[in-house]
Amino acid sequence: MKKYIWYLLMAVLAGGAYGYYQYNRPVASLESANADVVLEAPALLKAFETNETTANTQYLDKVIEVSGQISRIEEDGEKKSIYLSTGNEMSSVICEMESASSTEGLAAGSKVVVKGKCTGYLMDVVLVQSVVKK
Amino acid sequence: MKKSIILASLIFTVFSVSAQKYFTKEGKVYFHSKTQMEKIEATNSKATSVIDFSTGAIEWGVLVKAFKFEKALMQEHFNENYLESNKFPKSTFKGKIENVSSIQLGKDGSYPVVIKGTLDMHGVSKPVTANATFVVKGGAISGTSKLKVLLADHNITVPAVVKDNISKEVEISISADYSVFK
Repeated sequence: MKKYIWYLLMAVLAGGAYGYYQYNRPVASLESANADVVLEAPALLKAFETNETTANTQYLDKVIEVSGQISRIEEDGEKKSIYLSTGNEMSSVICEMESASSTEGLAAGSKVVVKGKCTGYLMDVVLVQSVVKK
Repeated sequence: MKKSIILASLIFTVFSVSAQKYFTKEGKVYFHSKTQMEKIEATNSKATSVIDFSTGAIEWGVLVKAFKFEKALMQEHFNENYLESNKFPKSTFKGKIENVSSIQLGKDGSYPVVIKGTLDMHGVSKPVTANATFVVKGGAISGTSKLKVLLADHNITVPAVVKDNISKEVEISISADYSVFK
């Protein structure tokens, strides 16, 4: 009988620890994530411009590895965002970077490959948690 | 000669009209819900907004999936259960600055305004009135606002088990630095 109480206690503790871990789990980094889709910035924008609904089903929440030329880097305190040229002056692929250091050595004009999670399209296609692929 | 004057004045008119238009792609939307059980907060710094100061028309758009939470589980619940961001990937606000003529773009100052419009969130549109402040400083224009949104107004239902963890009314803070729309 006593044995069962021990088992039960252990199960409860393990469950509690798992629950606590789950509750506090931070958003996972994309550093080591595999890309679901690989394409170039103009093609990604084009997909959303052509048919947003289709593009949403194809790309939302997907890890996208997008290559392109930097049109500008936007800085807001610790936050940095890379804007990739698309051939359309009004619209970019905006990559919100995971860490501020990730844009080191990069400037407007640089060619870059960025991995980020696609959140959709407003005037631009927005990727979040982005990391520069080395 | 005459033609060039007409052309020049035309260009000038177009220019001065377009100079009334401002936009940002780096607008911030922050919200929090606080109950005795739990504090939930999230930030989105990729909101897009356009204002036409000649008419007072103002628009905001945010991508629901671009809200960042501290805890992954909260972010997942927010996207999957509450805002259903696969079905409704964006939230928008379209409205009008009521007393837009009180804002003097050429003069430094702080201008309180009232904005009325429609908030589309979770696929449900609701009329919204909010107080906002525009600050003009050395040619730069920024705006801030706060509004409260009832989850029930937008058909966002919170399951009974966690009803004490999530407040029924969520406060949303908005801020943006605007640039001239070229």
